[in-house]
Amino acid sequence: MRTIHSVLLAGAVLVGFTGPVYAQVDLSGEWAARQHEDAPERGGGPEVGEYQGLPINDAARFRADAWSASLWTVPEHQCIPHPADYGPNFSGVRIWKDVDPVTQEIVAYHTNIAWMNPVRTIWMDGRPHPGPNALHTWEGFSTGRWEGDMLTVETTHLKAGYLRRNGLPRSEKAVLREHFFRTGDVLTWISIVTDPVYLTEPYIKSRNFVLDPGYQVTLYPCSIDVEVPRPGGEIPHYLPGSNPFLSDFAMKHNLPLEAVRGGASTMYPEYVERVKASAPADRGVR
Amino acid sequence: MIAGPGGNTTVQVGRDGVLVVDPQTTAVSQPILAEIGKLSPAPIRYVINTTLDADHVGGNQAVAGSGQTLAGGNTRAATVYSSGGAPIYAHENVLKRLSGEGGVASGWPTDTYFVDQKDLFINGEPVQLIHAQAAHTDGDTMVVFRRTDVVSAGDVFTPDRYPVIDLQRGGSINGLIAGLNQLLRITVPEFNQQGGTLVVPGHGRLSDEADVADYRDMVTIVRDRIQDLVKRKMTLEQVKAARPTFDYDGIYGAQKGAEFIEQVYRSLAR
Repeated sequence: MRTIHSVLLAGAVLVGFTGPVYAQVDLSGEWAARQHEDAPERGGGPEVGEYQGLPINDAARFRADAWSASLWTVPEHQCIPHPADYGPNFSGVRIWKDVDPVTQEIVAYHTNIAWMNPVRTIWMDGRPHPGPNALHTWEGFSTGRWEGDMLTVETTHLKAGYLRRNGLPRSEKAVLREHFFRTGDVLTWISIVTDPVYLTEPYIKSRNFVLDPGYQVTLYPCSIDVEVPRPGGEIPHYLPGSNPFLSDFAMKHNLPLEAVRGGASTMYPEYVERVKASAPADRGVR
Repeated sequence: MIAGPGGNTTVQVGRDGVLVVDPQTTAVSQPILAEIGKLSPAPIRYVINTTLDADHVGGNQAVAGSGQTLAGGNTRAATVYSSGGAPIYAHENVLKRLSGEGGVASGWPTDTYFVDQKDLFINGEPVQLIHAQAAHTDGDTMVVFRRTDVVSAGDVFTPDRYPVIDLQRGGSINGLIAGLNQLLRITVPEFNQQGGTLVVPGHGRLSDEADVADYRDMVTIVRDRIQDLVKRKMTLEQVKAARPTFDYDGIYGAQKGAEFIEQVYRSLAR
């Protein structure tokens, strides 16, 4: 009996010491973006009516069809920073941390990207998210937790934003989940957007960065200037059925119109076969 | 900002006492007073109504009645302890409608203005009452706290729902859009469209300029769509069937979207 107890005790001790072993990870530093993934979308930007590969619903499509690029000339729109879910598409990023010197616990991570210099805070101290009447911001309210070597972040309280820079909307009811993991000097940043208003499935994208200690985030003091005179209160947009540019992208790339109109089915590999069986676009979207 | 079932109350506290914008409904007067008491032990000196709906003025009597008007010297006893209570400010159209047919028996504004703007100074800062003409109603006031950089927008701005245009009480779609643009001229973002002036809406969450702009865009775009359908001689039912709020209904609610469409249609038809 004593032998059995000894074996059980030894087993318990071993189990106690055989949990997962994690490397120490720090995300702090200056990171240069690697834009090999989705380069046209991230560089020059999407074209009008280019919705393929996104799990959008009819409401999102309807709203994007009404969007006019001239909206960016309206004063209140000129200096908008990219929201937290769109920011990783661009430029490098600086990540730094606040450490409690007494406990050595990380209180928060912060990120800062070049475009409009939005500073984002990811709270690591276990604080709850604020109530529904709190201010919503471009970067939202983020809390993080380590899952092994991976930092998982939940973000709420985002302002209404966009899935693409061609008017595809993302509502303020969206929730952003992110996973950050570091492999040597490479940082992988995965974003998952869930939006009950404009998406039928989560929208997932990954972005890669390389450690670049020489990278400097430049100051971006945006100046609001009225350069397009227009009647007071006018907001540029297209009335339903009147946007003449919606089929240009499909025609330019010899794609079926249905494919570029987006929707969850256009995200998956089997959709390639459906595209092959479809006729390319030859007329406008009405 | 105190958020309640009747909307939002703005409270300014300081050396002179307490200023309350929109004390919400009668039913929540005591909880509102309790919350104000947590912010300051000083007496309530002013109550301001941004509009005339019961969810903005219902608590006037209880909240103003619990306060004290500013007075001193040998008149203090008469003003503070006889007439009692804090003055209630509003645009004069609020008083006209509350005291007229279909109005209420008590809780009327005691001090009104009829010009574009009325200025007060309390708790070390200028407080401006700015009339938004023919917006939600014809008696809407936006209250600007210039030093703390806060605006109480009333029902000109309600980011959790479509606007309500009270056509029977002087509201109009074009006046509402003008009111939203008026609000945008007051607000100033701090840096690259982030932060800056805080806006307390009549209903919904605390906001800033970017939120007002997003809402203004929506209201303007829906107005333009309905205006186009009206020009094409469509009936109200045809306009509703065209679903001009379709892309926004997931945010503000489809049922309220139908009501908003009807209000805009009837406003444009006038």
